[in-house]
Amino acid sequence: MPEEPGPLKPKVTPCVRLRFSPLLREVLVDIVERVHAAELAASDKQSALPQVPGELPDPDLQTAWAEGLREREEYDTRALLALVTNPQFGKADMLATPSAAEALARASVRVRLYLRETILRDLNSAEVDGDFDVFRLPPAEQQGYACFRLLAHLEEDLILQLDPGAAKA
Amino acid sequence: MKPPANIERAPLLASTAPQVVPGQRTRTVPAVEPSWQVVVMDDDVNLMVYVVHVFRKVFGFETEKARRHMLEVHHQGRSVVWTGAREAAEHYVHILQQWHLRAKLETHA
Repeated sequence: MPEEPGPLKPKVTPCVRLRFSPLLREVLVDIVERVHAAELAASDKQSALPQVPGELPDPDLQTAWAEGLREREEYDTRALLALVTNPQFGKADMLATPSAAEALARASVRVRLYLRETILRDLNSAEVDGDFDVFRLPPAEQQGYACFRLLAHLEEDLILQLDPGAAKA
Repeated sequence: MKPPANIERAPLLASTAPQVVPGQRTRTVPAVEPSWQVVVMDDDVNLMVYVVHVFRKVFGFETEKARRHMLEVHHQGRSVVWTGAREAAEHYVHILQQWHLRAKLETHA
């Protein structure tokens, strides 16, 4: 039987729920702050224009392209920084809207890429994947590796809550 | 390369002026523009599940199709995920780069 017509109901998208140990804050804050500071410092430099396709013929388009990437990165990293510095971090469950959760996932990738290109640049792919004795790294860099692995778990958790269909992959 | 048999060769010396025969119909043939490909390259940071999500989100792929492209990237190092007009291809590459996938434009003659 067809449903009785009625007022349109707004689609309710469930929030993503995150739960952390307070101990994780120490691993994350310092490095996320470092990435955010690097982004802010690079925002004035024309040399920091990653990934602009060489096929773009128009200098204005190249600039707009790079600006768009930079603004997105800065927004996302700020969202991750706000999460890990939130007073409720580690004390209570935290809720993120789907768009905020996506920003957190992108920021997690951004920070992991930064770590891959800096502290973890000498590791091969298998080692980055976890087949690695973290104690081979100098103590100061072990935090970077822990952060890399931790953010991978956060990223996966966010995506699986946002898009259970992707989990079938 | 040998031209197809049904294409008449132009004479070596020909007038450049268009020759219009009265009563004959003419038509304008648009130039064929190359299509552009959106190519995603492999990297060892992005998680498989993340890449599948991005393909689903950006292109609206079904899970199976997104998964196929993700595996192609993983095993073959690259996958062509979209082909079409340049402006749209640029738009897609930009969005994929915002998601930190290694995406680039290529022409496809």
